[in-house]
Amino acid sequence: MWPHFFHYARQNVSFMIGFVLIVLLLITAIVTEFYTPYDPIKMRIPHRMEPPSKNHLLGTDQYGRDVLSRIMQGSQTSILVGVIAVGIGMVFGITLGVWSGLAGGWWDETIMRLMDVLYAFPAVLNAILLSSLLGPGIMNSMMAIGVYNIPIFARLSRGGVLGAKELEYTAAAYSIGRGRFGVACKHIFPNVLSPLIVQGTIQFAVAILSEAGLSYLGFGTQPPFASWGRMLREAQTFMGIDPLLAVFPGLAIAIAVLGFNLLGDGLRDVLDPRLMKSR
Amino acid sequence: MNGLAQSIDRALEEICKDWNSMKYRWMRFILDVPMNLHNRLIISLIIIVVGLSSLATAQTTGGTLTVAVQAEPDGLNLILTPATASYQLVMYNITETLMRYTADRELVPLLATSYEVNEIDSGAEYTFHLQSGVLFHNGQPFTAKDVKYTFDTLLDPDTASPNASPFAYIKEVVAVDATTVKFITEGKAASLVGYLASGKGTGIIPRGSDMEALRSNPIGTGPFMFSQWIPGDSLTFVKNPNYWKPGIPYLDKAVFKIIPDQAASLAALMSGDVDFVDRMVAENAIQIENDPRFKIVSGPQNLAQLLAMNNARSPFDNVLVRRAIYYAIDRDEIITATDLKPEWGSPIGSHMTPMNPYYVDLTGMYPHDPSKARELLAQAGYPNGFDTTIYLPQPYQLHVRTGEIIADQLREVGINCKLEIVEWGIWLDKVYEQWDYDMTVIGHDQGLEPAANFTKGFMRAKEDGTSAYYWQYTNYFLRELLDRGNETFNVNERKMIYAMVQTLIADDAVLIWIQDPHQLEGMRAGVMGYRILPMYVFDLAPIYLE
Repeated sequence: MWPHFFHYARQNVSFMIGFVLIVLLLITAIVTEFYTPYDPIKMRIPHRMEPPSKNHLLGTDQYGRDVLSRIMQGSQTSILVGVIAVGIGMVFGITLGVWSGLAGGWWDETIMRLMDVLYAFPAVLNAILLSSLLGPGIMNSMMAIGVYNIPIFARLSRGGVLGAKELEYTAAAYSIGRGRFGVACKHIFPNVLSPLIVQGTIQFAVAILSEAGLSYLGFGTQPPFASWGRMLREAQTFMGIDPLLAVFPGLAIAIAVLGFNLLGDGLRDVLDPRLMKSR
Repeated sequence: MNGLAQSIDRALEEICKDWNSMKYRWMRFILDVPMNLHNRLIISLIIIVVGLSSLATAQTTGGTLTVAVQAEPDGLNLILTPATASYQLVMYNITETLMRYTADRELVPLLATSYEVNEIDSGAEYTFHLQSGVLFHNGQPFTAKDVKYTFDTLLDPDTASPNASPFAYIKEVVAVDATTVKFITEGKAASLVGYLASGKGTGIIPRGSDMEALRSNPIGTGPFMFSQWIPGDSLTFVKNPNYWKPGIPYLDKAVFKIIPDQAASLAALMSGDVDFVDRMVAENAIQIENDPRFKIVSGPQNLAQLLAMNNARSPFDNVLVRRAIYYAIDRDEIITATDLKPEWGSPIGSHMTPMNPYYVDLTGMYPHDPSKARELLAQAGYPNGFDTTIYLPQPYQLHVRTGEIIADQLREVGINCKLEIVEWGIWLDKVYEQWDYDMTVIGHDQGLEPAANFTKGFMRAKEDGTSAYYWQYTNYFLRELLDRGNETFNVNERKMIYAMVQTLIADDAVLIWIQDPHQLEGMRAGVMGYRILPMYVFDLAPIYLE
């Protein structure tokens, strides 16, 4: 499967663009761990709101902090939120979805109605609810976005399972004496995986955007730590004086979200089994 | 001959009293040029002619002023509401007080003409002589009985006024005759006259007024009459044609538009929908500052912004730690970063602002000195600093930003602050009610009457005598001193007492006093005469349109 994958992937333009953007994002996040041009949270008030220059490639913000360093720190925040939120959604969602599809009957009914209830609450509402209960913070917004992701993965995996469990290879697996759990893990799950990966990539973009939105509203990342949404919020009040302050975090969000969406689109084409078979 | 020249000088000064100081100084310059009497007489005549003509055209009457204000009033009867948004519009404009504060912070008579104080055994007797020939907006004449009615209603327990407490020591108000009223107080209440000029609910209302009716239709003796209130949108005041001071007011009409969003009010000013934006944020003010179509009038607003520490909680119960924090903080940096221009904020060093006539400048007591701070922390037993939390009230951007900078400055000396930006309701509950906090940044609206600044924070006590205010600072000596201050009539003696009070609390570093962020009023260039009052009141009377 893998050689095929790379063969098709290289021919897919949107996959390649997305892939490059995401790799760049990942490299930024890793580099930030060891090096930023300046301390991203240390204020240097005499140097406030400087335009981009050799010393500060993207200028400084209202407290004299280096914008580039803060955007780099923001990339870590974004990736962390994406990984945790999509992780929560995938682990719980897929488990529930696969179980629901295999077990059927009242299990299926109960789980899926529960998922409908969860699905009815948008991520932002969840996050506002959680932060008013537990206080604002990055952990709570990650949890809220993660919970929002659960029903999405549950529905998708259940659909895949319902299709796959009627197929011949499943019947064959049962007939040689494998148990339900073994069949689910070994035979059904790998065959419903590709749409989940595609969805995961797209949900990653959604998670980054939601975190930015929540931080913008003041529920996400708390100062002094940087997040792109928070930077936008702070820049907004200074729009009339220094519009560049809002441009760079906005661009960062746009690039990251575009990257994940392109990657997701590309993956959908590349991982399409019909495509694989026909070539 | 010399005597004649001097008397001409004096006459000129008299005529030109209303001129602003610039013009006046220019005139003095000419008068100081050595000249013979002949020349001097000619120049003086020219100046008198020019001066009189410019005085005549200086204040044009008529026109409508539209002002963007941030908050909607909570009813317009100041006896019934503590809301600043109501006070701001009604005080001095619709209702008038016996005494008032001027923009120069002087306490002058308004509806009174003069007053005397007599100390008697049980307290004091204030006798006010009143203006005659003043009419209320409903045509009723103003007399001493109205003053008595106002204060009887304010102090009546059935009225349950939230603004009555500063006047609790008034035993009786007596209308001696139509133009004389006497306040008899229990205890030597030296603060009464100041409170009469600035307290909420001290505006005189016509006797027999219905409290509920005044909420939506306020009546007073002021230069403006209430006309219309469209909830959520605007309030309209119109000129009082029978106002007792001749020639005032200049405006025909004033409309207060309620625009809570700062960006929207800036846009309204730019597009000409409003002439005036009350209390702009610095980010907006700096944008129109250099635009010739607009101007900014700025000045201290008598707000003490401070970093409050829970004095009853470790490590803030240690004065060395509190002083260390003081040394670690750089006020100038905070002012530059939050007010955007150094001249848009005044540093303060104690629980008063430079607006107050009793203010003592103590900003030099703790200069910015991180190494001194580290030394003090080590002495207090925290050589490596400690971890703490700062609660910041989310609706007040200024305090949030200040908190962020303070956290950064404290990190320098090893104190790690976690920032908790909380809703206003949570702040009130956690910090102000339950005292469950380490540190917080907040602003305290200060009065001009010095006693008012200290009553809550330094006098209020629980049954066991310890402080009953959120910073929980208990000092019995200080309380004695404040009691003395409240009972002393001699101004110089009073000044001494309050100077001691300010020094004492600054030395104990009870709180970290930061700044009085200036009030920034943005307006069309043609709006003239506006002056910032040392209280949260929008004074319409001196404004005219060019």
